[in-house]
Amino acid sequence: MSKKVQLDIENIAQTRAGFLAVLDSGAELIVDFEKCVGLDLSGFQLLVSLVREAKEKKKTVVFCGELKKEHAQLMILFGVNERDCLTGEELEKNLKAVL
Amino acid sequence: MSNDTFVDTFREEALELLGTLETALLELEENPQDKELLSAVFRVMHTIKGSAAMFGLDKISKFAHEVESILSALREGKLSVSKELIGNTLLARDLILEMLDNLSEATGPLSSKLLDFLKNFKLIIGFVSVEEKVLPEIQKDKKGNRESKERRQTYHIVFKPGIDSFRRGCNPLLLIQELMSLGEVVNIPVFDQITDLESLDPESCLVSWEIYITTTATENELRDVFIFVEDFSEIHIKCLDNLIDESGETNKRVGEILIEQGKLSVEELDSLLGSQKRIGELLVEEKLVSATDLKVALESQKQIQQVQKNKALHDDMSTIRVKSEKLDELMALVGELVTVHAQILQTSKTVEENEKLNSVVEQFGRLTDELRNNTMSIRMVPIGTTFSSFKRLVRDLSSELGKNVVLEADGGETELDKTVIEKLNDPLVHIIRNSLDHGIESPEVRSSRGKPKTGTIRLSAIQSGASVFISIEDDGNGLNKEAILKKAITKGIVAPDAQLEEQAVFRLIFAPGFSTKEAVSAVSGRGVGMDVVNRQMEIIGGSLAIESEETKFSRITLKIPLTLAIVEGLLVRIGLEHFIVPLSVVVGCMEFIQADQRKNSSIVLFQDRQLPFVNMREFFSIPGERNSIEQIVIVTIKDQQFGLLVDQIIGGNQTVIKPLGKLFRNATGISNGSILGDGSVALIIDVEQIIGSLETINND
Repeated sequence: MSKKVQLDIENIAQTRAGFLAVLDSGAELIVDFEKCVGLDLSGFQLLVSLVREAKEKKKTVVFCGELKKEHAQLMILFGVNERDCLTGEELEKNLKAVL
Repeated sequence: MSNDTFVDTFREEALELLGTLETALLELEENPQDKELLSAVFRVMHTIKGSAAMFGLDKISKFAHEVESILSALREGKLSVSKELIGNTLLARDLILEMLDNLSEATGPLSSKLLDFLKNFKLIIGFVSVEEKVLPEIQKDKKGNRESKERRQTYHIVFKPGIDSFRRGCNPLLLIQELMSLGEVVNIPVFDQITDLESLDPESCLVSWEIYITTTATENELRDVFIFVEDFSEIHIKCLDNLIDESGETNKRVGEILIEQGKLSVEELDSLLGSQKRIGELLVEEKLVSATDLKVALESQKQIQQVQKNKALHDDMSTIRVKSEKLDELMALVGELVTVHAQILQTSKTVEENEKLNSVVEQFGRLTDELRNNTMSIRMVPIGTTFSSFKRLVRDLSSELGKNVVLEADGGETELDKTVIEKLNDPLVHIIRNSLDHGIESPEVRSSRGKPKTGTIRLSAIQSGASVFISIEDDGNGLNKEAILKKAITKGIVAPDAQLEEQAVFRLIFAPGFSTKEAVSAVSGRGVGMDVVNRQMEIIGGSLAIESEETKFSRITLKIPLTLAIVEGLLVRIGLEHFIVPLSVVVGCMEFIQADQRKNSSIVLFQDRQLPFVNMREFFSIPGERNSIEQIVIVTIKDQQFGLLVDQIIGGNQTVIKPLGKLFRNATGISNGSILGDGSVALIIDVEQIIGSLETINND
């Protein structure tokens, strides 16, 4: 998925549908955080669900790109990271570790 | 209380704080990542600043403020711990100490010396570049001010936002952000309710948090954070400090925590116990708990331990300050009371049997015992503080000598009477200086000998009976017996043809004026220091032993009495004289019938072992005839047992030690005196000296 990623409450239902469509097609889902334009708790929940999906149903989901500073700070509030300047890869690793 | 008294109190507290600061700084140098140490250093400077300002000592306050700014930048990660930073903070500490020594100079603007120091300090550590950014933040930091004044507590918060939180326009993350502004937060998200993508309702709030916050805020202030969401969210707040107070439990295991949290049953836990793997890993592997549950339990365990640690620290601080002279007076009075009790006991035996009197005397004895033990325990101080104070000495002196040396300390919790500890400081300083100068080699020499470039001086303390053994060991040169003997002969300390045992040669280093060093340096070479060790050991009734192997190590072991005030003793009689054998060396007693002995034999059978014994009547040249039935006190010294032949063993005796004075300094076999219940004097036997003198006679 190389389009812009909208992970906020206004767009979350649509983004979820987009994610599902990609995964159902059997394609690899790449979430590039450099293209993430909005992120809030609802988006964070979606990411957790995505990682769980990938882990349990062996789907290919890849997080990549550097998180924007404000998003990285949000991750600290979520409690998945203790410092900012997080990359998509690190976030994926952290989420997998607690699921 | 006059203002002077307040200032004196401030001074005493500040001196104590500066001691803590020195120790913390040296530890921080070794563990630069330790945030607790960093906070401790900051708190000391902050407290000194605030207290000095309160007493109008504005020079100290301003100076401490400047140093505090640097430490604040360090705490915020804007500076890093470096040798220069630690060194200069130590110097700043010394400058505050100087101002405390001369309080009349502690007011007014900062002197040029202090300003120059600060300028140089900031320049060296690169503080100037961050200073402008840091200062406004410090001024804004009301939280920091509050932290130092109020006690921080740790709370466990379970926060489960209502499922419709998003629809209500609530953002739970803002609440967590608010919590973070109140203290140090560890928040663990719980994802149990988040389903797979297909069944996920993305507009429902499904995440919850287990939060640990350490803060000065009250429980009500924490509840206020959630005030607008409490109607539709689940919020539980518990103060861990209170939980520990109630349960008194400290070292809870992860399994126990999980059972308490209702995430695991006792049966499930029992089924896994006994495995080699960690219980947490097993529980997750067996899917009995989730990784998040385990993380929460581990964090809970960590926080409880931290709270307990802080509580212990806080409890330690719940003390009152008493002048040491008052303790000395109290000890002297208790000593007199013990003597009076002995007199009453003695007198009660001379009057007609009176049950009530006996009961009162017995009760008085018990109370005296308790009072004595309590008073003595008040005077007991852990030797660790003294050990820590040598870290600075080693740091500074090794740097001066161009050597790399670390000081390791073990057994710092061992307690000794404060008077003994005070008297130990000088001997230990001299031994350590000697180790640094003569013992530890230069890095080049150490490398050539296949040793690590950094030398080690190890201090250790251990209590055994009524004595404490303190050893000072270095992995340096060791002692060169030939060089010591040669120098001693040159100085006329021993005769050129003297045949000395290894220990006797080693002991020459304690002779007055002895030094193998050709040149006198600022550190050693005058042959004065080690003589001080010897003299001080004599004063406190201690002894010393040396072990060494050339190019490998040297170890000096000091044997120190626990206290100089009172000992438990065994009262014995020889002729008309009374003596006291310290109970710490007594292993047993036996009857001795002269007629059963082979003529002139000095051996007795005790517990199937043949032991030599000393006829104390002969040893002290006490006139009179020997009894047909005598008694032997079996004592142990340096793992060897001996007997002391006396006329009669009277019984246990609480012995208040009275020094004998200069006249008896050279009397062999006695260490001190004591006053008995009838007012007569009993001499305290120095068993080690008796055995030592007999060995000398036998060798000769």
